[in-house]
Amino acid sequence: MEEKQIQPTLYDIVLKKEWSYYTGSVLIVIFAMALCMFGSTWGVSGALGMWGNMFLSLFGIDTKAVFGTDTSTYKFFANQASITDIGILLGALIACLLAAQWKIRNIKHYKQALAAIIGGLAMGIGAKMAGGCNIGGLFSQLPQFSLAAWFFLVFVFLGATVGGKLLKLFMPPVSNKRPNRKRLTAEQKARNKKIQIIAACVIIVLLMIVAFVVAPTYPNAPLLMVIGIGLGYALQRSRFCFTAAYRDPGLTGETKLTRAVIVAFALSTIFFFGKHAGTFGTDLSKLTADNMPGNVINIQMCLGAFIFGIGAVLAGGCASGTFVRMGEGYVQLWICFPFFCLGNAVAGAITKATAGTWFTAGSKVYLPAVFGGLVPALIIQLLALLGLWILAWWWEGKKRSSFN
Amino acid sequence: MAEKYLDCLGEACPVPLVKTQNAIKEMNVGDVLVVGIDHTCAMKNVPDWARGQGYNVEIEEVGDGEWEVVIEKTC
Repeated sequence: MEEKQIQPTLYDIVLKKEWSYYTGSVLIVIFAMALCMFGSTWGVSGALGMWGNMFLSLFGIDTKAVFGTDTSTYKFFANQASITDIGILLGALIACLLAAQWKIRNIKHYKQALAAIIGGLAMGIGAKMAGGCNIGGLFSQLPQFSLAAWFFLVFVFLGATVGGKLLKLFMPPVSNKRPNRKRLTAEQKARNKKIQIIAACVIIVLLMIVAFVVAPTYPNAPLLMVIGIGLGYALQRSRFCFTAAYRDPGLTGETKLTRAVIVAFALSTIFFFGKHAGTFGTDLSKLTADNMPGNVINIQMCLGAFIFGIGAVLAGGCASGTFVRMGEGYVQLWICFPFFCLGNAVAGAITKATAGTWFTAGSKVYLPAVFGGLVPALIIQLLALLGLWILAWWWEGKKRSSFN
Repeated sequence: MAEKYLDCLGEACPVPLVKTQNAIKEMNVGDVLVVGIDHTCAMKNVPDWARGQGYNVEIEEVGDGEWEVVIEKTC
């Protein structure tokens, strides 16, 4: 077999060719930092829970009394997570269309629908219990020197390991039959490409109109929308996936995404070091129990992360991943989405019932307070991440050499 | 030299790569595996993995967002 070398065109380079994972790390950190500067830290699953509650309240359920979420004051354009979530979906859709790679990606076996439903419910419940998904519970917290995020990482990894075992039950059977579809001719490809690019442009124009309409009432909304779309575009184009980072080492031995996520953590850690130094002072003189960042470490959080990990592997994407895949036209994740919302809403009953019990007893641990300042915490955290990066790199090599 | 097709259309990560690894394990050196993929992540991680193993890899976009990854097990 000869290796064909086709010269990429300008279009391929600008709009089509996938970016490296590290490009994704850098851009995602930049967009997440922008969210931090202009709004609050990036979160994804909160909005899903709100939508689930709104859906349930259609059936006359008093969601505030039952699940502890008041939907009456919710406004889409005043809610950062809602805007950025839809932005991620649209950003991925636009990226996919501009690359002329959009299609409806249908499931081919009922087991995939089953995995999506179970995975969606598990992710929804897990994210509610853990106080966030891969983003809110991990990516936006670990760089803020919160020990809770390290616990999240350990338990989500354990959950993904269990999920990887369960996944075998939901895999569609191996088929070696080539599906009977016509290959597109060059003219058909060119025509489809034109249609997809035009569709992307129409969506962009419509979004600009929406931005202008809502801007007077919600001045922050257009900017948040742009950042959300940027996140979606970067996630899609670089094929970035937070779930793969802790799922693939055990399942396939691949750790390229693991290392890219670790680099994203490290870059983000440096950003938050600066931000926290400004807020708390490098000697932490302005740190109080009230303004301490991060989640409380308790059994509920650890169990939630574990359940979330199982769900993310079964469904084929975490919360942000679900929005990216939905934008790309994956039926499996469109099935997953409503169950994520419902699971997240219903799990409100768990968090409500267990509040104040041993299940939620614990405390926040802010690492700079443990290590005696922000500078030692920064050094220790970066060294820990470097250690993980080397471990991941070594693991991939080991799995590779033992494959044949 | 045998050629085998593996249908991974409509499947999300990590299923395509797991199936590819299982298929390659059962193949002889010199055999070719053609993996049908429409998952944008799998069209990156399947070739990435196969190249890292030292195999010859070729990607052809056969439709909009649909690829055939041709892997020759060279070692």
